Parts: sequence; structure tokens; C-alpha cells
Amino acid sequence: MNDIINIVKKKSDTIWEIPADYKQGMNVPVRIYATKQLLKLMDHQVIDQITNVATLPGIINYAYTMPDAHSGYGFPIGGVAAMDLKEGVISPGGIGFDINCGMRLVLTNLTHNDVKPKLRELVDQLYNKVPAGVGGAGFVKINKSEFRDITEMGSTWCVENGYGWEEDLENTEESGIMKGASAEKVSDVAIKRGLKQIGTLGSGNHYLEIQVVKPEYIFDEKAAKTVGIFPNQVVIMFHCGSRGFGHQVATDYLKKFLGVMESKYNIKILDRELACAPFQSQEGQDYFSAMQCAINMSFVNRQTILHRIREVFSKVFKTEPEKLGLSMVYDVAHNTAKVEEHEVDGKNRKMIIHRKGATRAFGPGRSEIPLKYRNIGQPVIIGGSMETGSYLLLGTKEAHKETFASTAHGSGRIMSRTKAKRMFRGETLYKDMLKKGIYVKSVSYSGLAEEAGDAYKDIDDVVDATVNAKISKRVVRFIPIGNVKG
Amino acid sequence: MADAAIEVNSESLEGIFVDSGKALTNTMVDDLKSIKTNQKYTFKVESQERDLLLFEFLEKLVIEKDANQMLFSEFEVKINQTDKKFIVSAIAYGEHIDYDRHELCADVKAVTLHKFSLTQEKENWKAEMILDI
Repeated sequence: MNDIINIVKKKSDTIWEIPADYKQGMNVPVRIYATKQLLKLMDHQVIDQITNVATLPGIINYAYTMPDAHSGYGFPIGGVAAMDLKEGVISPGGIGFDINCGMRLVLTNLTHNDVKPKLRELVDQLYNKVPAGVGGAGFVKINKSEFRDITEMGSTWCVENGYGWEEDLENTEESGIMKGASAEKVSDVAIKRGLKQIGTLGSGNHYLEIQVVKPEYIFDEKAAKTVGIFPNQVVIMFHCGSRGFGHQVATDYLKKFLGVMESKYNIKILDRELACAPFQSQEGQDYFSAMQCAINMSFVNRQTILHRIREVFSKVFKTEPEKLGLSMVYDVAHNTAKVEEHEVDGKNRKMIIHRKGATRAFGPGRSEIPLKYRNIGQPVIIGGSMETGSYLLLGTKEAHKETFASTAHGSGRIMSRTKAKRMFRGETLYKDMLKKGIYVKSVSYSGLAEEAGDAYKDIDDVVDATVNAKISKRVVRFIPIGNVKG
Repeated sequence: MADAAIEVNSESLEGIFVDSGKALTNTMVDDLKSIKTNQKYTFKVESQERDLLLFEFLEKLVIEKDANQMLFSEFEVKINQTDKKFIVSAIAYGEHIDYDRHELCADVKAVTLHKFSLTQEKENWKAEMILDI
């Protein structure tokens, strides 16, 4: 057991606080959203890191961690920090290297019985059509100039080029395009890294999964109906980001910020990975624009993967994708910084919100949510480990007050990859999963072992914590039956 | 924790660069010997800080992997120092990823500055780094 429980002050069963006098230089207190059980599982580095975040200039109200928080680089994963637009900073470490890593949930009108006889064929074909793992190159052949267009146009480029449906845009956060993106702010090296990666999953915890809606796991029938979910339905969920391109954008600016942060802006930080620049500075604005390019690239990556999924299902079921009901529920980003308006001390205030391994969770009524979801709240997609299951949640009005409309993003690791490889054998895991009715196709057995269910926190505990803290609402839990692992 | 921690020890600074390069590739490919060394990539990096020089050197290898699907298993490294900066001139030997011959493991997405260090103690150089995978 760790000593975190002795550091924090209990505010409720799911909210814990570390006062601003815990560490020298903290500008705000820390708020941890977690059950006592999750708090006990948290590594101490999360506390070191989130209290470092609390020292950043211009931070508003609190530095937050979500229930799936675990240590990252600089910021913890599952960390949220809102900065004042005038006094605050922007930090690549608060967004994550994999800019706009996110989740996409896609419906089908097929049932588990329809898919069962075709499952292996589907997974094998998806594995072939959506490259995963080291150095995987995608099917979209483009030149540098087209890549630059992609970084500025986001998913609209896909619709114009036959890789998406008009309705896909509406069902993507920000309608699939960040309008402040300027390719001029991106290095040639970053473009070189991303050029062949459109339509690829990557590796690590990135995956593409075929899942089933068990009737007993529909928690909110009305909301489920609104998003198009029905009992025994098969859905597809996938998790990936901006690949090497996003990483390069983050690294380029991390280095730039290290060069000017102290000498030009007199900002002192406690960890090099917290490198930052004033949001309004030239460097800050350049990064904000480049980061939006990476958000757009990631939207395009997930959109072209969806195109491949539609092709595969269409081929296997010998029917057009439209007739198979392959519509998106939503696409959510969980590694971003965005300018949003929230209420602070009774007044509306614009701020730059860093969410690293945290999902935006707008409650009902927000104009940013697609019309069809505006009465129920923004869909939030929570990816679990490949053995356990995943969730569809909704944002809540309370989340605005509590966390500037932020919630968890996944289950969160509790075991390092090295330890997971020592504990589990990939081949045994593969066979065990097959017995449970999950067919998995992975680049390597060792990669599979790293993603074993027991290497992660219990997804149900994480979701319970978000629901009990009222920052999300439970709609449905999905059970995996097929998995392509990066 | 989505990462791999690496520690490299060597009697020379050049040795640190060579072994760090090998460790980086070894994170992605199980058997370094499976990588043929019939292609070479010549490059130079500069930095005012010695540790950031190593960081930049390794970053070049990650970029080549993504941009040109290249993996490297052998390295020749020369390090020079001027008044203002350190310069590494390197040749990396390797080949394109071969999905049949190379047993691939985790994809290294980035070298991070998290706990990144390069230190010298008497005759021994030591580098510690965390790779984002």
C-alpha cells in the first residue's frame, strides 16, 4: 500500500484534495477523482507530477487527476489543467506526445449471431487492412503537399477524397477539423515521419476491437436508443492517435520551449518534460497551431481506418457498408489542449484546457455537441483492456463544475510493460482469450502479454468512480469478441 | 508506464552512443542479428548539452524508422567538441523492416526527456533513458 492516503484530504468518497502548501511553488491545490481503492493503486509519481503541474503559471482552480491516472512524462496520464488565456502557459507535456490519441465507436446493424461465424475472417482481414506495430505504413499514398492539406483540413479532407461520409464529420469532436491549424508551424521532419502513417494503428495500447452489447449491460436504455445501441448488437471500437507525426510536433516544441522558457520568459519548472511557454507568446501560439495540425492528422488517421473497416465488413458480408449500418457514434480525443469557456466564480471565462489521457465530457445543452446528442450529453468512449470490456458514457452538467468537463479515458495501467511480460506469456494469454470467446490477432506475443487485463486497473472501478463523482453517466458496457492489437 | 527503461554503461562516450542505439533497436526487434547491415545512414547532430546530443542522436533513429522503415543494428560514432557545442558524426548500418525475418516487438514512438541522464563517474559513462512505446 502506498502513502498517498496519508497525503490527501478526503472531500467525498470520490474526491480527494492536496492543499497548495504541500509543495513550494504550487499555485493551486490538487483534486484527485478516485475511490479509496483506486487511490491505493495509484503510484506515488502521480502525486509528484500533479503537484508539479499545480506550480505552472496561470493554472485555474485545481490541477486534476482522473480515476484512471497513472504516471506519465511531466504530467500524469489522466491529468487535467486549465490555464488562463492571458497569464497561463501551454505545455506539450500536458497534452501528451501522441497528440489527439483518441477513441472511435462505430455501430453495425449486425448481431452477435450474425458475426460469430465470420469473426476470424473479419479480424484477419482487419489485421491485414489496418497496419499495426513497428514501422507499419498505411494505404493512403500522398505527397508532402497533400499531407500539409490533411493537417489543415482534418476529416473534411477524407470526405472530399472518398474516405468518409458527410455524417462522420458531425459525429467527430470539433467536426473533425481544428480551424487554427497551420502547416507552416510544423517541421519538415514531422511531416516526413507522418507521411506514410495515415491509416495505421501503431503499437502499445492501440487496438481495434469488435465488441458485443450484452443486454444486461445496457444501463440507460433511453440514451442507448438515442445513440443507436440495441441488445446483442456488434459494435467496433478503436484507439489510436497521430503516430510519429504528433510525437515529432511535441518533441520539436518541447525543445523550443526548453530554449526560451527560462531565458526569455523567466519560467522555472520542476521537470524538463513540463517545458512550456506563455500561451500568448509567439512560441506558445506556434505550438498551439502545430498541435492543431496533429489533432487534424489524427482525426484523418481514425477516419481512414474507419474507411478500411467499412471495406472489410462490406467484403465479408457482401453488402454495402451503408446497409450494414456502419455509422459512427462519436470520435473523442483524449490528448489535447483546447480553448473552452467555463464558469469560474460565477463568471464565464475562456481558458486553455490541457487534457492528457482525459476525455472532454460536455454535459447536455453545450452547443459543441452534435444536435442529436445535445439533450443527453456528449458521448464519452472509455477503452478497457483487451480482456475485460469498454464503456460508452455521457458527459454531465456536474462535470463542468467539478473538472471543467473532463473525465477518464481508459482503465489505466498498474503494471509496467516489463513486469507484464514477466508475469504473463503471450501465447498462453492468446489461448485463454480464445477460450473466453475473444479472437485476437497481434503483431507479437510479447506485445500481447504487455496488454494483459491484469496489467490494468479494473475498468468497472474506474467507471464507477466517474459515475459516483458525477463527472460521467453510464450508458453501456461492451464485451470484446475480436481484437487487432498494435 | 507505457514505456521501456534503458540503462547503458560504457568506458567511452562513443560506446554509450553505440550501445544506446543498439538498445533502442533491440526494444523493437527481438534479435539484433536478424538485421542485415547492408545499408548505411550517415548523419550528424549537434547540441550545446552533452545529454541532449545523445537524445538527438537517438531521435534520428526513431525518425528513420517511421519515415523510411529503417532499422539499424551497428553504429560508428565520432564525437567532437567545440567551444559552444558537441557534434556527433555517425554512420548507422541496417536495413528496411522485413516482416518475415524480423521478430518485431514494441514500436518506439519517442525518446523522452523523462529521467533522461548521461553521467560520467571515473572511467565509466552511464546513460539512463525512458522510451515511449
